[in-house]
Amino acid sequence: MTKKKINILDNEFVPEHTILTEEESNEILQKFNVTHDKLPLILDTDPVVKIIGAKSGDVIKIVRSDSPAGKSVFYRYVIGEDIKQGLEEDLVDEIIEEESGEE
Amino acid sequence: MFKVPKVIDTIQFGILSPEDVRKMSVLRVITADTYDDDGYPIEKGLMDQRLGVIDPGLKCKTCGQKFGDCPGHFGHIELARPVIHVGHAKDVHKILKSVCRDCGKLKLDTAQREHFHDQLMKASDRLKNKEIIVKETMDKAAKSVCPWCGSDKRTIKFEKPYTFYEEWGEERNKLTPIDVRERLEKIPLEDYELIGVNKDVSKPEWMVLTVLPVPPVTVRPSITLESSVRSEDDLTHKLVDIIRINQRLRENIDAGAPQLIVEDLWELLQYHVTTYFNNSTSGVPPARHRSGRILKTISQRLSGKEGRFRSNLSGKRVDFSARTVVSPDPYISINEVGVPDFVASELTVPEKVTVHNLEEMKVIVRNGPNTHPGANYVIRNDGRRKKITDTTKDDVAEELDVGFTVERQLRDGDIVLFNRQPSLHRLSIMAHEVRVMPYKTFRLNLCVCPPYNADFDGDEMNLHLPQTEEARSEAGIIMKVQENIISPRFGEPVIGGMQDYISGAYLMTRDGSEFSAEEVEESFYESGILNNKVGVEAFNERSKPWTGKELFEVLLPKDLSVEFRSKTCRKCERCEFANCKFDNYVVIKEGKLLHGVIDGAAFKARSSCKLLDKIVKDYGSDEGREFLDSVTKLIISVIMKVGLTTGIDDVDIPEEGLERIDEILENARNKVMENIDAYNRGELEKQPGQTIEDTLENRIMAELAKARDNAGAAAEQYLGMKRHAVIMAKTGAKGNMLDLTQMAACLGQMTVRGKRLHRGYQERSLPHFKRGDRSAKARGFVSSSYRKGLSPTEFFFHSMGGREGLVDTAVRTAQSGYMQRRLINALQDLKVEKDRTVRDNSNNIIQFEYGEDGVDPSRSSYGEAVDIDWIIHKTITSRKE
Repeated sequence: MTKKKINILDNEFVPEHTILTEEESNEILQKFNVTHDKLPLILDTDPVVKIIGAKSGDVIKIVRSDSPAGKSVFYRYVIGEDIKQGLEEDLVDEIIEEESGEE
Repeated sequence: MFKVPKVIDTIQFGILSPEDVRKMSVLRVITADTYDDDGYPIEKGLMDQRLGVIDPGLKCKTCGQKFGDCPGHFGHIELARPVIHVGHAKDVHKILKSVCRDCGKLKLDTAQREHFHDQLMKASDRLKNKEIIVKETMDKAAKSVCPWCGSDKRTIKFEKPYTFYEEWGEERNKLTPIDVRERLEKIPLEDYELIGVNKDVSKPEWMVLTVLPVPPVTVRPSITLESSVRSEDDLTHKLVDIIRINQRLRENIDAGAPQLIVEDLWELLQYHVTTYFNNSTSGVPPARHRSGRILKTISQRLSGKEGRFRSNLSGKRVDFSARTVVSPDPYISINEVGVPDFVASELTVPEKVTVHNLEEMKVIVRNGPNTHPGANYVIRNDGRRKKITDTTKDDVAEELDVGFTVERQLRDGDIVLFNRQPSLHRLSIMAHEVRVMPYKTFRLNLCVCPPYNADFDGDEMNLHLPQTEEARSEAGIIMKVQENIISPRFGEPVIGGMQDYISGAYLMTRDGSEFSAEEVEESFYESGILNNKVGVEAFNERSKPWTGKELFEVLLPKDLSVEFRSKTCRKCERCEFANCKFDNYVVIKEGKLLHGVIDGAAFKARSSCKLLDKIVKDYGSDEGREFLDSVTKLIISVIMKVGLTTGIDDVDIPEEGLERIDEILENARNKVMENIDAYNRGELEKQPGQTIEDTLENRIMAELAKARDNAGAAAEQYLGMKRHAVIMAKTGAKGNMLDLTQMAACLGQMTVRGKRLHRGYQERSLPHFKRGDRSAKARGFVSSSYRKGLSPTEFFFHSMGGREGLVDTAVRTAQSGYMQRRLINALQDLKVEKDRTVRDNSNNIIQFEYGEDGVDPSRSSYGEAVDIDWIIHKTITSRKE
């Protein structure tokens, strides 16, 4: 049996993702008065990110319409696996240390 | 004042070098003993008098200061052989992996070094910070062969907690701390930055100890027991071990002992030094005291709940606070707290004397420390602090002048913070106004019990007194109880009526409840409404009795309009709204209670109460507080006239009802038997996804649950509003109908882990039943009611279910406590910024709009900016008129 290829963007639970142009993303950064690293992150291995073809360093806009507030807009900064590893290992260390301290 | 010996300007973290250790040491400790037989400290021992003083009366041999003034002085131990510092073992491994075993250089060529160095210089944000780059650098180096000397590739294996091996092919060679240290020494200074070492303060080889600092005796004081036996601190014990082994190791080396023995002793020294730092290192058996108790060494002193940080630094005990038992006082405002007079005369507020309050302050000072609104200290213009006593009070009052500061006692109207642990949400600490009272307990209005989760079965609460004008006004404006009536969590009142206030409101406002003019006047007087909201004239004009609804509406804002279903609403199929024949639809128009009975739905705390919510949101917190204060007082007065009580006869059911219930239960038992028979005959049909046994169990459970519900429903027919217990249940004051039917009709199935009771004995729950008996009775179905009483087996089953409940709550509190701690650690720095984004302490954006909708629940009506339904309703109804 061959598996039917499913486009996950068609799923109603997948919110709308769009890649922002350089200009647009600069506008966003200016609006919130931040540098790109202060934005929430998303991995470039994320299924939706892969489909829409965003690259590490892009800023994507996510519009959720299932939020309790109706429509809500999020921006995420796409990062590569290498950065994620650096970030995560620290996190795991921290948790292990804290856990062993507890009790 | 406390003398500050040195002012801290900067703190630099680094690794202590052997030279530093020797430099700061006043003595090389060589004797493993502490005191001689006469109890005198042994020279060059661990308790040498040069290491500081712990006995009052003695002087320090190093600095000459007395006990308490001398901070103590470090000594040191010269280790016979180096040992790895456990705390650095992981870093040592990382470094060993990335440097060449022969030339000691970082295993990267010039280009690669240049690249990483560049990155390191540019490192700024959280995605590319120095730590991450250093990690990348070292990972890269660890994977390569040395480009400088091309020595063969060998991998370094780290065996926790402190052993290193070198592996190549099939061969394996242990690296002693000496080998490790040699390699680290070879690392050139230029490579330090790339392996994450600050060359100004640290060298990698210092991670291997050659000399060990001995902390001053003030850090590890010995205690003398009554029997004048000295008991040494755990750290001293550990140091004794280290010195003893160190000594033996040195002697053996000097005597040219075989390699094996030296290595064993070396390993032992490593063990002792390791446990000296951290006695809970995984993979190392903890060092024990002679009694078998695990020693508390350096790491244990600092970490965890009882450690220095959480217990002594974050959890400091504070001045200007008080703690005592709380008890209720329905006659004080929700904003107030009753403070015992003896507490009030101990707590003080500094108050600056000005031309405006000079006379007032003089009176207070003249009262002295023992007459209540008095003062305990005066700080004069020259900064001198003077205690006020009964003998000096008049003189002090005389010389009192502008610019002095009077530490006056707590008095009525002062703002204090009041707290009950566990402080799980922000409402666990609120600001109250002081009311000084006799006796020994803090007094609390009952309406503020829900946010504190307080009751009066012995609860104690803490009180803190803000010391500056800014703190007091800030507390008064944002932390006052009245500002917290609406919960920030779900946007509805958390402060409000409970128990008797609810049933009392029902008794007062239900149809047909009438009060004579005398009664009303008395109640109004008692609750402070007379001459305040209602004049005496109101009684001159009328002779007919007051209805309860007329009484209640006196307290409402004059232009308030609101409609809602009361708690007692029967949820009829077709709602008649304002024409409800059960009086369960409340209509308040222009401050008049036209229809409906007031109960839990109107002003009960934490229950989406409509009336209080409306008053607070539309008229403000002052109005809300006033409403609560007066309504509770009025209701107390009324309920005392009407009377409310409950007894066993509240759950009495007439004979025919009992027969009906018995019949229902008997039928259920029979049905259960039918199911069991079908199962035994193998005729039971299997439910999809279940075993045949599960099918049977589920069917029985469903059958019995239905039976209990039916029995309850049958009983409920007889439980009318005439019974006070029912009033309490239906108005939402206390209990619910399930509780009442359990009392009146039948308890139902007892369960453990959601299953009928089946464990205890082989194939049966109790020896009173046959093995394998699956009947209702044998598996914990309690047919009796509390009213009737339980049979012995039923009673036992009931206790099994009850025990599970107790265990569950105990486990739940422990788990949720830990969860709360983790959540708070994760969320504590989050903050809503001016642009309504939520950010953490390093300005990372967490949410682009607070809560994704920018709504503060406590300032919205049911999550929206306006209650549009109500506005439409109001418009339509006003059109009709």
